[in-house]
Amino acid sequence: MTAVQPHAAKATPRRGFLIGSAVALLGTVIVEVLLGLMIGSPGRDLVLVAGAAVAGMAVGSVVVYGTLRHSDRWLSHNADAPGFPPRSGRIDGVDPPAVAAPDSEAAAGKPLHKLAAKQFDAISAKALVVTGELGHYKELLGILRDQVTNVSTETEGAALDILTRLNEIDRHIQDMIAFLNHAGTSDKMVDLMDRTEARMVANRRLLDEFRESCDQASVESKERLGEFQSMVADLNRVVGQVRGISRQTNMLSFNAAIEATRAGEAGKGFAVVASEVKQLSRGSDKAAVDIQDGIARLQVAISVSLQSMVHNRLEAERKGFDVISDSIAELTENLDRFISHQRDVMTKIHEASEVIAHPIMALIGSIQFQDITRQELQHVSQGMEFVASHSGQLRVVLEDFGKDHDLDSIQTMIAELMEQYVMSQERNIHNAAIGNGELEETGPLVQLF
Amino acid sequence: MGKKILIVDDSPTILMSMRAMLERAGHAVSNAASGEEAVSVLKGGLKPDLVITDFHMGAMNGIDLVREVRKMTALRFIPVLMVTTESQQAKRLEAKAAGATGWLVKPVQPDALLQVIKQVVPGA
Repeated sequence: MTAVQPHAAKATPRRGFLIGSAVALLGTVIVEVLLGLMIGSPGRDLVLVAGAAVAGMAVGSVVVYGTLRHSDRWLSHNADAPGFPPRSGRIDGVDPPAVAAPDSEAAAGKPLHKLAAKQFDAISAKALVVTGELGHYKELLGILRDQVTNVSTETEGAALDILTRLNEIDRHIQDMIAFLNHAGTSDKMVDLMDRTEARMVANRRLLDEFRESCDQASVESKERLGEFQSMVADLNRVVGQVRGISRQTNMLSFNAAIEATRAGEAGKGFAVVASEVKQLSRGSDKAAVDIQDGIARLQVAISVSLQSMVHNRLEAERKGFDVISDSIAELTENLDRFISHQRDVMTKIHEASEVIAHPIMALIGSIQFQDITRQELQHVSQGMEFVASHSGQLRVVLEDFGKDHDLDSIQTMIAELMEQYVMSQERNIHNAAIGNGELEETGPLVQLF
Repeated sequence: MGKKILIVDDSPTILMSMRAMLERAGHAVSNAASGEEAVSVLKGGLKPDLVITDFHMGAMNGIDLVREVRKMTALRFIPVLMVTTESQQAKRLEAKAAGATGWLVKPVQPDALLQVIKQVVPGA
């Protein structure tokens, strides 16, 4: 605390005014430095508005304060001096100083004490205005502090909302990854594959059985054809025997006719029989020839028909088997291709999900910036508290400038503000604002003890 | 293998962020919003494999919490990590002297955090 006390320095009001102005300028600079420390932090717009207001008010208030302080000291020192002029204006019991009049006023011949009283009245009026305005600083800074707090609160709400949504997205991605991992090796999938493979094998076996059956049928057909041809050969042999018998019968009838002729009249009847036998023999032979021809034609017809039937059937079955076999092969190939494609798709989705999941988790980590911002805004609010406190003290000094006051030093406040910081960045901004270019070294982000 | 981890921080954002990162890695997470709440939870019987705490947290700061943890017989040797925005070297040394295991500066990315946990928690 800086004690503000009247002293016995022999300062004239003009010197007092000049000193007051200097103090005012210094105060302004300090306030601006204090505000400059804060504009590196979030909420800079609010702080700039507050800074402009505080700086302007501080200049005016400290000018008046400095002037009154030195006027007060001057009066205290000269009040009892002989020939001190009568007082025409008073503020809180303080007599107006006998200010040295400007040259023009002196030239006009006005009394110096009247000029001083007039100037004092004007200063007093301004002091009252400044005092009143200073009273509103607390309110103004309270508003700004609440706004900063609101920014912090809203940012936190938004950060939590973002985190909630990111968590939701991450959960869905994890579910999908788990599903893909499970689907690739699941019992259901394995069972489906096994059943499909078993069905394919069964179809192939069935096809082979059919083919074998057809081959067997073909062999049987050929065997039957052979049997038929054997039967035909037997029939031809029988027909040959019949024709042999006919030929012998014919020879027998011829001999009988000769013997009948040799027997004369007695053999006439026998000759008729021999003639009939001959006719029967020729008829039998002709019938045997006809049968033989019929059998030959039947053999040809049946052979052609049977061969055609077997051939056509085999051809049709072969084509059918080829179609079925090709279909099954294509089906198997397509199924393999589909399963392979499906596996590729699942692998791709799995990889993409992993790729997406990583930055989402990094985002969740980055949202922690909100806590950093919150702390920085807290320190800005702390700076506003300092300014509010100091403006209140200035107001008290102005309201009651005849007394001693303990006034906090701005430098002390700046130092206290420095103590509030926790981050190197804050301290570096602070140091840069007060002209200290020294940068604090940042330690390692991760350190194990 | 998942471990039991207690996170202590007065920021809901940090609690939520850290919980998401740790649960994603398979850890079981409990949290406390202050040093006092953490002490209460620990005295209530929670035996975490790791405590991760903020530094600045109102009345009881992270270093105070470390000291309290070290007083508890069952938790005397569990690792305690400080995760904070505080960057002063003096504070790090203070935390080390109090018995903290390590120091991480916010914001903490999941890879770095999980790597540190593997280093300080056996079997993690």
